[in-house]
Amino acid sequence: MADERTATQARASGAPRSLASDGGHILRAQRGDRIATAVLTGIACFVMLIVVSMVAYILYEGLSTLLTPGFLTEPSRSNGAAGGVAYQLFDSFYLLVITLLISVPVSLGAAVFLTEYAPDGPITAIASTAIETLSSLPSIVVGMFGFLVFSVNFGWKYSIISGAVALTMFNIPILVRVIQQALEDVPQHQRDACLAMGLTRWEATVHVLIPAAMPAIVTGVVLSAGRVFGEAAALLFTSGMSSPVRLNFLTLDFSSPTCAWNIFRPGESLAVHIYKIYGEGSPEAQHIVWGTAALLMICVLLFNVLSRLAGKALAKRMTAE
Amino acid sequence: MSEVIATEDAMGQVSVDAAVEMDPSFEIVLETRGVNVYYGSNHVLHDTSLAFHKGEITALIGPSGCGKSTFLRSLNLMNREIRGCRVEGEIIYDGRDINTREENLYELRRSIGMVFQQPNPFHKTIYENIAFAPKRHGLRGKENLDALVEESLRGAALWDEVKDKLNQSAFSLSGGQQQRLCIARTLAMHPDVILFDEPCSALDPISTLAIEELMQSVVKERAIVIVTHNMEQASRVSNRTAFFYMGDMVECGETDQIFQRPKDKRLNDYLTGMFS
Repeated sequence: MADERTATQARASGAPRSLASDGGHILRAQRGDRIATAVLTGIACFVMLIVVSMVAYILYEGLSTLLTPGFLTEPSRSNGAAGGVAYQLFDSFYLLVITLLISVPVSLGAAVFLTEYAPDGPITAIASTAIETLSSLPSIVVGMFGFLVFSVNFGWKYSIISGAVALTMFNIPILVRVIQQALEDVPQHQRDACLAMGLTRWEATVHVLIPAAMPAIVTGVVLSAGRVFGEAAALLFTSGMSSPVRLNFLTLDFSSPTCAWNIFRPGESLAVHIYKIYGEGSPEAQHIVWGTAALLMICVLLFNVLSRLAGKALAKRMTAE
Repeated sequence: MSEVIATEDAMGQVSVDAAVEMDPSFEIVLETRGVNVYYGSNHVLHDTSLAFHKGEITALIGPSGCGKSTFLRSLNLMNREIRGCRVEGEIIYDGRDINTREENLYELRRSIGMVFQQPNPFHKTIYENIAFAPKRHGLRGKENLDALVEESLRGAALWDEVKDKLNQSAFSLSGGQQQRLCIARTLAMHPDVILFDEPCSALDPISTLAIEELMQSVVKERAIVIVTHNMEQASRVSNRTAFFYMGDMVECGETDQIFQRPKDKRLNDYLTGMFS
C-alpha cells in the first residue's frame, strides 16, 4: 500500500511512467532506509554506551572517596595525598565566577557589535577570523601566554586573577559565538518592529533583542561555565598548582595571602589538583584522584542540566505564561 | 463591475464615500516626487510620484517583485536599514523633504508608523508591548501610560478581549489578536500615516475582516497605505489604488475606476488573471 502511494506520487510529480511502475527501486530504497536506521541507531547506542560506562566507572572508583565525611569540607593534607578538596572546590568556583565576570560582558559587547552594528566588511571578517583562531588555540598555549604576560610581565605571579584572565581568553571565543548565534536567531521582524517605532538600534538591542535571546544566552553561558570549570592546562602556569595551606574565609583583608577572597593569591582548581596528585603514585593519593574526578564530573553534569533548565524556564516565562 | 459592488454590499461594508472622495481640498499628508530605489546597481523602482491624503486608504497592488513593498518601505525610510539600498527623489511630509541625511529617523518613524506582514509583538506583556516605545520616547507617569494603553487597545478593537490579561505575554494571543496588538502599538504613537505591509497574509478570513474594519475605523485622522496581494481586499478597503508592475507605478486612481475601468493594458491583464 505504501508502495502504491509512492508510485502515485511519482506519477503525479511527472516522473516517467517506466520508473513509477518499476517496483524494484522502491524496494531498494526502503531496504536502504531500514539499513540506515539500523546503523544510525547502532551509532547512537555506541556513543551512549561510552558515556554511560565512563560515568559509571568514575563513579565506581570515586564515589566512596567522594562520600567520605570531610572530603568536601576539609582542606588537603600532606601535599594532596590525604584530607579533602575543600579549597580546590572553592578555588574552582571562585575562578569560574571571576572568569564569567570578565568574559560575559566582553563577549556580550563583541557579539552585539558583530551582529547588530558592524557592517559586512574587512573589519568584521578579521574579527570573526580572530575569534575562530582564538577558539581553536590549544589551552596549554593560552596558559603559556597567560603566564608570560600576566604572571611575569604584569607581576601577578601565580594567582587567581592570572588564571581567571587566561580562562577568559579561552572562554571569550566560545561565548561570542554562542551569543552571536542567539542574537542572530531573534527574527529580523523584531528589529524591524523596533526601528519602525522610532527606536534606536541600541534601544532595540537592550530592550528587545537581548531579552529575546536571553534563554539561549543563559544556556550558552552555563555550558561554557562547565568547560571553564574543568579546564586544567590553561591554569597550570597561571593560577598555579597549590592553594595556600590555610584559607581564611572570614577576613576581608584582600592583601592577606591567606584571605580566601584575595585574587592575587595562588589557587588550584579541581582539574589541576587531579593532574598534580595523579603523579604521586601512592594508593591514598589515587583514591583522592578518583574522588576528585567524580566530583568534577558531577559538577560539569550539573552545569549541563542547569543550563537546560534555566534556558527552558526563561523561555517559558517569556513566551507564554 | 456590478459584481464587485454586489459583493461589497453583501459583506455589509461601505468602502468608498463618494462625496468625501470628490472633495478636492483633501489634505495631502505624504507625497513622493520622482522616487527611485536601487539595490546596489539594481534599479528596482522607477520615478514614482504619489500623494496620500488624510482620511484615505491607498492600496498598492501588483505582482510579486513589482516594487510595491520597496516603495512602502521607502516612505518611513525603513529601506535605510537595508545595506546597499539607495532611495532617490523627494518624499514630502509635513512640508519638508524627509529623504535627506539630516532627517531624524527616530522622530519621523513615530509619525509614520508601520505594521508588518508577520504579526511581530515584542517578547513582553500585552501592556508593555504598547507602553514600551512611548516610555522610551519620554512618556512618564502610570496614569498617562495606563490611559494610553487603554486608548490604543480600544482603538484597535482589542480592549475587551485583553483588558483582564494585560500582564500576560503577547504570545498568548492568537495571530489575529497579535496583529491588532501591533496596530494598537502603532496607534499609541499617534501617527499621521500608517503603512501596512500585507498585514493579513498570515491571518485567517475572520481576523482579516477584523483588521480591515479596524483600518477603516482608524483612517479618519490619518492616511493609510496598504500593500496587498489580495485584490478583493484592495477593492474592499481602499479609496485609491496604485498598480505597480516591474518597478513602475503604472496607474493610480480611485479604486472603483482601477478595478472596473482600468486604462493601462498591463493592469487590465493583471486584473483578468493573465499573470499574477
